[in-house]
Amino acid sequence: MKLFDLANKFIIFYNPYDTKKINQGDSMAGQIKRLIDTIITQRAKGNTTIMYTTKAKLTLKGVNPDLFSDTSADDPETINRLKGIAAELGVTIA
Amino acid sequence: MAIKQVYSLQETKLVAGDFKKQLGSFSPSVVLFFASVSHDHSLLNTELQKAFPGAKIFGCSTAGEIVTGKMLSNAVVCMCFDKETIADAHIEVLENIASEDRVPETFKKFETYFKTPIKDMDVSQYVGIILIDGMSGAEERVMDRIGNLTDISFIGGSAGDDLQFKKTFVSSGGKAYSGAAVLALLKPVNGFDFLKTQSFSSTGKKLKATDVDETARTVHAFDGKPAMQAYAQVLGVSLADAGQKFMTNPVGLKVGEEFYVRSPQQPQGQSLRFYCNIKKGMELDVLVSRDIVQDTRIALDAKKKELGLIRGIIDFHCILRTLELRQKNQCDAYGKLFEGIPAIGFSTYGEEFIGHINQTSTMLIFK
Repeated sequence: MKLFDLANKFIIFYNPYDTKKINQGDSMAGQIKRLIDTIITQRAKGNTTIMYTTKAKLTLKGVNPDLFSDTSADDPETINRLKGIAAELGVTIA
Repeated sequence: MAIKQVYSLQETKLVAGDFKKQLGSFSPSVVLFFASVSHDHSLLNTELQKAFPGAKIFGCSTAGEIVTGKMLSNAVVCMCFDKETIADAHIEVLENIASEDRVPETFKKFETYFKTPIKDMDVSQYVGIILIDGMSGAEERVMDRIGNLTDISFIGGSAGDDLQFKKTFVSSGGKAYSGAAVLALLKPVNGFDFLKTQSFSSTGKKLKATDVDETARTVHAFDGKPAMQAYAQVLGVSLADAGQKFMTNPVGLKVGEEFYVRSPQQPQGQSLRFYCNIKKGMELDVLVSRDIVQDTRIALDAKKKELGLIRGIIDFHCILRTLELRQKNQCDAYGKLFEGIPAIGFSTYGEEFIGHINQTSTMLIFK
């Protein structure tokens, strides 16, 4: 488990009702999962077959969606790689 | 309405005539063939074009052929479609695939032909077939480019040359090409489906590629250790014996519950060369082989049950699976799995489905 993961879990665990702190935690983790979800959602447009094929394409491009969760650390290398993949797939990242 | 399969063991100049005789009055609009490199592919193309002047013809060379009920060698197998089974088709050749990216311009040609932007084509109405030079090493790049530009599924195989590993051919429009790929975009009348089957389970052990030469399809290190050493260790065998495990213990990228198999080819010193690329950081399951015939039967039976009627199957079947079947004397049993269904296929140097994969059968099924 990476440092950011631990930090994020710590904040959520000790401040379950403090929205501000949960959001601070979110800003340090989960970006990869959100990028993956954006790519899959935008590309598939609700088509479940394309959801699967997009997931497979991401895995073959080197980012396995199954390995990332809402608490995964915001690894800059993976984020940059995903931004590149999004551009290749014609997906706009906000 | 029909899909018809024929095969010939005649010498090259007689093959097209043999097909015509077997097909009788059937007049195909699309013809797909797979032929051993023991045939002269230029001559074969010329003769097929003469025999079926109105048809769109494409094909490739093989490392063994498959036709309903049989696995063959030194043969030509052929699947013929009429207008009532494939409403429309367009075929394009991409030359110089090792050095040039011609996918975008090819897709423009598809758009012009079908008068629809490729992004707007209904993925349930169109299906692509890719036949690609199996010695080009370009499969990953071409499949990646296709996957970027469209959600239409392209399925296919890498052309073979009967294990000579010298020169393979893809064909279209009466001409044979090397260093090229053929892309066919089809509009089947009754729909289609896919079957991807690989006979492997996970050992539960994993290897993470930490140093790779992606272009050379070579892994230098798994988990920070020299690749051959790490592969031998995870299987509990000596370095000297590790090579004997390549066929039965490839590695797989897991997508959901599916494996996308990458097969080890040969040691390169302490590094390990594969039949398709592995990217840095990829986590791979170490796999163990199961019974190909039994697994394929189960997969085909499930598909038959799901679809009810299958009008035709094109099987892109890895040469490594064929070698295993030959070794176990199971070729007849494998061929018989397709009895009662119009089917052709070939032993490939790699299979294409979403990406480039190994030790798999990727099948296009016509409903």
